[in-house]
Parts: sequence; C-alpha cells; structure tokens
Amino acid sequence: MSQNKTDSILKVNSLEKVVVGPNGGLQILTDVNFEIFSAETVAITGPSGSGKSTLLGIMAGLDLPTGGSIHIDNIDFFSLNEDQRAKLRGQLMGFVFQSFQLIPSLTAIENVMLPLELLGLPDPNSAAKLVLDRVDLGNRIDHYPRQLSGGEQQRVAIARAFVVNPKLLLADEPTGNLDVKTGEKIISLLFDLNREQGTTLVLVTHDPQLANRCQRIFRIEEGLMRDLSVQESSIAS
Amino acid sequence: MLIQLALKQLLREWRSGELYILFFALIIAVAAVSSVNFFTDRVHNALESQANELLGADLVLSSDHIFSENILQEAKKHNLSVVKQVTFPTMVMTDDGNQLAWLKAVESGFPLRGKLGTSEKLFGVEKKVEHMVQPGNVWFEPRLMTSLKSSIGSKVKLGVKDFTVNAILTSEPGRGGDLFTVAPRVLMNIVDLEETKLIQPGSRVRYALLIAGESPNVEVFRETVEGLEDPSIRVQGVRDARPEIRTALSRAEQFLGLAAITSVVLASIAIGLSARRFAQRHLDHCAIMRCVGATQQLITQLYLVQILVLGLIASLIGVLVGYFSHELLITLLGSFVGVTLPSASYLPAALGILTGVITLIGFAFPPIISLKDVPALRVLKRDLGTIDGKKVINYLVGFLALGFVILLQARDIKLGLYMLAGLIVTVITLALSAYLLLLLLKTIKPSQHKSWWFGLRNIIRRPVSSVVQMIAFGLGIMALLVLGLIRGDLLDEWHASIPEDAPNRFIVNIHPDQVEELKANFAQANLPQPMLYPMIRARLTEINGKFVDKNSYSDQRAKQMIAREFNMSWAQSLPHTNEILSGKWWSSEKTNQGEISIEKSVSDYLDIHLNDVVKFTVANQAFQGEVTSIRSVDWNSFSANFYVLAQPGMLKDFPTTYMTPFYLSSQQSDFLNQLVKKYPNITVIDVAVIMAHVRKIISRVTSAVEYVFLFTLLSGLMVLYSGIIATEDERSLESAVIRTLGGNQRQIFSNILGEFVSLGLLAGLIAAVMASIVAALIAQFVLKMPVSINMHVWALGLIGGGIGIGFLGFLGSLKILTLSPLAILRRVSAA
Repeated sequence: MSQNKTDSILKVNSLEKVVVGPNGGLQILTDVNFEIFSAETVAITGPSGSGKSTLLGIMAGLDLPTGGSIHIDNIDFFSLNEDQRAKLRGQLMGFVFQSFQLIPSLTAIENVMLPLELLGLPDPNSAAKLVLDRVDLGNRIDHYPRQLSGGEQQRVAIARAFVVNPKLLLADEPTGNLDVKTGEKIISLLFDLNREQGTTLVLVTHDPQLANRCQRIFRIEEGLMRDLSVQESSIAS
Repeated sequence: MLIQLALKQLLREWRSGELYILFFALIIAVAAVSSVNFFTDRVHNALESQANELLGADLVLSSDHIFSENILQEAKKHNLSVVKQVTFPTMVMTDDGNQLAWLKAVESGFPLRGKLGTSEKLFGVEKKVEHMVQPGNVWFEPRLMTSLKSSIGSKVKLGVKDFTVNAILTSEPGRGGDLFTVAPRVLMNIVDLEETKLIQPGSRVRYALLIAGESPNVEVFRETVEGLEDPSIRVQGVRDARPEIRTALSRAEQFLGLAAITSVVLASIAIGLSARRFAQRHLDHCAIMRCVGATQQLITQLYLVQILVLGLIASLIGVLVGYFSHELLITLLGSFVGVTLPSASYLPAALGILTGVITLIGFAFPPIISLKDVPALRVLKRDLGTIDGKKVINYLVGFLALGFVILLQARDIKLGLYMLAGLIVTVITLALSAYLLLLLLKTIKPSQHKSWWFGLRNIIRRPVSSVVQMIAFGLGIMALLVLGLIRGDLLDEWHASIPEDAPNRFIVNIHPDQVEELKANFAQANLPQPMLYPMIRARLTEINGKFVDKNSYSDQRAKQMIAREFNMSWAQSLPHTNEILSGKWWSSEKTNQGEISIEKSVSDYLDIHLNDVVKFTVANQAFQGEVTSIRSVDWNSFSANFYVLAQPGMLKDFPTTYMTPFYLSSQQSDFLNQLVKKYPNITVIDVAVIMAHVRKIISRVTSAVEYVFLFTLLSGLMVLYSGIIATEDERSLESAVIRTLGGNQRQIFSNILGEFVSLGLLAGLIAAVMASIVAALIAQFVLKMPVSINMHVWALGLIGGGIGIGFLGFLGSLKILTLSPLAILRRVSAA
C-alpha cells in the first residue's frame, strides 16, 4: 500500500479519554495513536464498551478528549472552538449512524438537503436528488423517515453523508440495525461511493466480515488500540 | 439566507405535522384571550353608553361663559355630535302666581343619549318621546305643575314671551346630578331663548355643550379640552356625575380585566407546555444539525425566526377565531339583554397578537435558546442534552413575559399586581407541594397490582414533568377560581346594593312642625314609618381660621365644593351606610361639643384633616366645629347620605327642614298627589326612573359578568386540554409498552386517571386555598368590597381539580388508548 504523508486526512496523537463515573475516574481510551490517509478504508473493531464509539465521537469533534490531539486535514481540531469544529464538520465530514439519525419531520430529500442548506450551497435540491438517485431512492424522495424501511432510512443517511462530498466519512455500526442482506447492500453502497468520490471511510463495527473489506483494521480493547493490518503485514514479512 | 432557510424549515416542519400542537395551542390561547377581550370591549362600551343615558350625553362641558368656536370646531374635528344647552334660574309667571324654576333651553338634538319621558297627568304613566319640546311650548316638572297649579294647556310667561305647557316632564337624561339643590325644571327649545330676553348682563347663566360620539374620539376630545386648563370649563362624564354608576362600572371593568388576565394565564400555560414539548422534540434535530455543520448561533437564529413567524401567524389566526367565536357567542345569547352592542375596536386584536407573541417568546425562547447547547454527541448517546427542567431561568423569562401581559391586560395596575403576586406565590406553593408529594409517594409502600398505583408512580418517574404539570394545572384552576369567587362576590354585592324596596322617592323641604303629621299620613296609608333627616344647607367658609378661596384649589371638584352649599345633617349615631375611616364617632351621651364628621372625598379634595376646625355659614349665621372623624359613605345605597354631619344640638338655632327617602310602588302614586295637595311647601323628588335605569345597568353588568365568566371557563377548559395534549408524548411510550406486555385498555385507563386525578386533586386544593386568599385581597383592596370567605371553593377546587383534570387527561389520552401499540412505538421511535 503506497501512502503519501501529504495525503494525511486524520492524525491522532496520544489521545486519552477519562470519564468520571460513580467509582471515580474511568479510563476509556489510553494513548491512542494512528494516522489515516486520503481515500483509505479503515475499520475500528472491538468488544462492546471498549471505547469504539467514544473514539469515533472524538474523531468527529462531537466529544472532547482529556488528552492528546487530533488533526483533520492538517488542522488541529481541538484548537478550534465548538462552532468552528461544527463548521469544519459540515465541510469535511459525513456521518452514518447505527440508528440512522434522520430528522423525522423532514422528508428524505429534505434530510439530504439539510447539510447543503446549512453550508449555503446553491441548488441543494438538484444535488440531493442526484445523490438519492444514486442510492436508488429516487422514487421515495418525498417520503418521511417513518414511511421508509430501515434499509431505506440508512440509504437516506448515506445520501445525506455523501451529498457534501466529504473528505472523511465516519460510520458507527452502519449495519447494526439491519438484516444481513440489507446490511450487505448498504456496505456495498458505502464502498462504491468511497471509490467514486475518493472519500476516506472510517467504520466502527462488530462485524468481522465488514472489517475485512477495509484496507486497515484497528482493534480497541480496554482502551488500548492496535493496528491489526500492521501486525498482519509484519507476520507476512 | 437565514430567514429563507428558517422559513423553509418552518414550512417543512409544518408539512410533517410537527408544529400542529404548538400552533393550535397558540391559536386556542390567543382566540380565548381575544374573544374575551372583544366581548368585554364591546360590553364595556355598551355599558358605558347605557350609563351615559343618565347624563344625556357621553360628555358634558359646562361653563359660565359661552363656549368659543374653537371648542365647537374641535368637537366637529373628532366627528362628535354637539348639542348646546343653557340653564339658569328664572321666575315662571302664571295668572295664579310665580315660582322660581330652573330653566333648561336646549337644541332639538337633545338628548344625545337616552330619551325624554313625559306624561299627560301628574304622577301618571310615563311615555318615552323621540322629539324635543317644540318652539312656543314648555314642559314642566311635576312639582312645578303642583306649585303653580298648572295643567296641560296652561299659559305661562317666561321673560317677555308666552308659552304653553304641553307635557309634564317625568324624566330627563342629564338630571342625574344633584337633585336636591335645584329648583324645579322647565324645559324649553333653545330657539325661543332670545325672544324671552331673559339673559341679561349679570344673569347666573350656565352654558353647556353636550357631546356624544365614538368613545375613543370622546376621550381624545376630553383630553384636549382638559389640556386647555381653562378653570371656567367643567368637564363631566357619567362617572363624575353618579357615584353608584361609577362604582358599578369600574367594578365591572375590573372584573372584565380579571377575566382577561385569567384567559392570559390559561393561554400562557398552554403555550408554555406546548413550547416545552416543541423544544424536547427538537433535541435530536439540533444534535443532527450540529453534526452536519450548523453553528450554535445559526441554530438559535433559525429557531428564533421560526418561532416568531409561527407566533405571528398563529396569533393572527387566533384573533380571527376569537373574533368569530365572540360573534357566535353574541348570536347564541340572542339580543344581549336587549342591548345592541357597539362594534368592536381594534384594541382586542392588537392585544391578542401581542399576548400570543410575547407569551410565546417568554415561554418558548428559553428552551429554544438552550437547544443550541444540545451536544452533537447526542447522535451517539441519546441521553445527553435533555432540556433542563430544573433550570429556573427557563421559567423566569416566561413569568416575566406573563407578568408583562397581565399588566397589559389588567386595565387596572393594582389588580394586575395583586393577581401577579398571587400567581407567583401559587407557583412557589405548588412547586413545594409537588416536591412534598414526590417525597411522600416515594415513602408509601407500593400496591403491586393496582393500575392506579402505577399511575401514581408515573409522577415519581417523571418528577420534573410532574412538577411542571402540577404548577400548570394549579395556576389554571387558581385563575378560574379567583374569577369565579370575584364574580360571586360582585353579584351578591350588586343584588344587595339596590334592594327592591330601596327608597325611590324623596320628600324634601318638610317643616319641623310637619314631621309628626307626615308620619301620621304614612301610617294612614299603611306605609312603613319614614326616617326623617334634618337638613340645612351651609357653605364652607373657613378652615382653621383661614378663609377658604376656591381659587386656591387647582382641582375642579374642589372648586365646586367650595362654590356650592353642602347638605348637612346631624345624627346621634353613625348612619348604617357610613363607616368611620379615621377618628372617632361622637359619644351618644354628649351633645353640642362642636364635633363634625366629614366624608372622605371632602377631606381629600379640600385637604381637611382630623382636628381641623371648619367654619360654615348658613344665610348670615355661622357655626364652627372640630373634625373628629372622617367617614366613607356608601353612595350606592340610595339612602340619605350627607357629606357633613354635625353633633346633635350644634345646629338647633339654624333654620332646618327635614327630608325623607322612602319606597313607594307605582300603584301608590296617588298618595303623593294627596300629600302635595295637603302640604304645598314640600317637594317630592322621584328617583324611581333613575333607580330603574341604574338597576337596568347593573343587571346588564351582571349578565355581562356571568357571560364573560362562562366564556372564560369554556376557553379555560379548552386551553387546559391543549396543555394535556402537549404532554402526550411522555405517556405514549409507557402505555404502548404496557399494552405490548399484555396490559389491557382498562389498566391503561386507570393508570392515566391515577396520574391525572392525583395531580388534579392536589393542584385543585392548593389552587383553591390560594384563590380564596387572592380573591379576598382583590375584593378588599381593589374592588373595595366586603370580603366573604367561601369554604365551598375548597371543595370545588379539590373535586373540580380531580375530576376536571382527570377527565381532560382522559380525553387528551384517548389517542393512546385507541391507537395500536405498534403505531405508537413506531411514532415514538421515529421521533
């Protein structure tokens, strides 16, 4: 795998997360270090409660670390304030969640248009329609989330994530609420779009099959992170 | 871009149905407020106009000089009708003798309000006439007919001109003033005045302009005239002229204000609860927006624009609904006890919109502003970023807005402040009680198999929501109960104020030696013994040895008091319609100690205090005394009331006559004819017509109060219902889960009843306690009425609260009971 250091999209240095629980401080993440490059596909795996979602939340700037730093597109993410991070998120990132997180009061196309409108981009309608066509929902654009199946809702969420042409797409258990067949379709869609748009894809998943489709796999256990792909390549050599 | 995006989002939310509850709660709230306001505005104007019949006009300007053309132009500029009037004392001459009379010469448009009443024989049947006395004719008051032995068709001379008496003047709008001080009335058309040559230099002529028109125009005109600060012009509305009408109208107005406040409180509750729901349902929305790049500032701005636009549209629709529902109410009521209501002004519409927008801002902004703080991480952890129900600031802004709107609606700042203070104390009491209820419920051992117990446990499970709901219900019930209590007190007071057998005739000018004979006449006619009051007419000349000059007073009323003679009397004991406000009533054993008691308004206007020495003159004699008490007088009582009372014995050397008020039915009017024939010196004053008019006004005020109360009650129930709907989400999921796990509808029904009935019982009880206190304070300090303690209100609050809230809760939860659990689960999970 050839990697050019100038293409670094996400760089995590000495990341720590401690939360205060009923029995004092609880270490969720310990000294996490890794770097992800443009157009890579990366899986983060690990048992429940290992800190996968916490890591994803911090990478997205939704949560704050207690130590360390993250650089997104060479910008020190946590040197920015909350609003600046939100803006950067809107410009650079897309999200796909296990529970879809569509706005129930908006139709499919309105959900997809939302990030474009917030960025003030012209003609959000055509762009949203195009991407909904791409996820095969061109005939359901005026349906509300409650009128769509789980797989369809997730495809709307994917369309919403890709509509801004993000450099980085973060997905939290994107197939967790779907049956196997629908899940496979969603994953194929994610990988297709990754290829078409050159988006970096970071997936948090329990699913080993899904993880294996990614170029790199990280595993978190008890807050410590290992890069399994590096391990594999060193064993192979 | 921001407004465009906000409107776009608003439209989308509207299409999705997400805004319906807030929107409709707002419409109902604004409709309730504005329909009450439209109704009260029109009823107020109608009552005012009815009352003005007593004055013959909406406003009377009077002066010793002819009015300048400028004032007439000013009246025309405001589209007001004007009738000129001239009054002065003059001798009426007939072949049988002469008599001093009080001549009133008026233009043909007289009266501008009300109708003249005439009859063809003395104390005969009165008929209302549309026309004024024609030139060449005069109308006489009955006592002038008696003293001049005139009859219809008699020829009389006024000045140098001859006239024919062609009717007996039985009632005359504008005659409501001081009945005892003026000579009997002669009514003439003003076109004849010049030919009489009665007005000569030095004549005691009083010129007046009677004014009528749309009430805002009249008010503006009044302000303009008063702004001239011309001391020679006296401005009088009906309230200045008749104390009993003034009291009835101002109390009615205060009640209408209270009804408006009540509807505002109810409206705020509905808006507050709906806004809270709106914010709660937008938590995820905000988290997602933050996730996809929206800044905190953008989120705040977007919601603020949306809420403002929503508030304006809903308020406009609310005002329209309010207008049509009050029209419907009026149609349903038929002719409002025979009165055509004047058209509504724009004020209720403006107040309605203002109320809607301000209460929405007050109650919706805090939770909406806190939406910007919803962490984006909520997309991953749903328990993050809930609206903090314990944040006092969230409610404080709402209360400030509510306070502002209450003062705006109150029409009486004191009333608004009392109500506001009552609401604040009620909120604190309700919050503390709700907290104690939570503690109590936690300690009670659960009854495992009872559904209602599950309902009670709901209160503990959703502590913040339960406290908010209890405060909301309690406030609503409290406001309605205060209105109900004040209504009851007002009606009792009015029924008591003019009993059926209240005196409707006065005999004045009775000589002391005629007193016993007169009593015997009453006994012979099987009439109750009359109460005879001594009366002398005296002028105030000195206060503490200093000559009283009317020009040293700036107030018109004070000037009048100095200029005219007081009706004085003496009494051993305090009259039952009087109350000592300061000082002490004289001891019953002592006489002639030089003690004087004055009425409060005399004390206020003339700046006379306890222990001041006041000197009066009667003809050329003088007497003085020390003010030892200041009294309030119930002017509504229609009995003999006096501004100044002296200790018995003080006035024994002064020329005294007696007067008596008494009740005489219309069938017994012949008694008066006999009396007048027997004692030609006495004067009979008939106040039956005025009393009937006052009774009519009070009965209309009473009806208005009843209708407004019912209307407010109805809108209150609707508003509380919409408040319950607004909390539906919280119960939906639970009910769906219970049904999924095998619970039946009856269990869910008991569950809902358990929750609402217990909240309603406690809220109702506290509301009743607070309502009794607030109503008592308002009665005593604002309406100045005796305080009555109504124990039944406690039962009403308790039972009404329990049953009412239970029933509304059941109605509001019907959807939960009827929808399939799957539909509810889908709906809740999609939200």
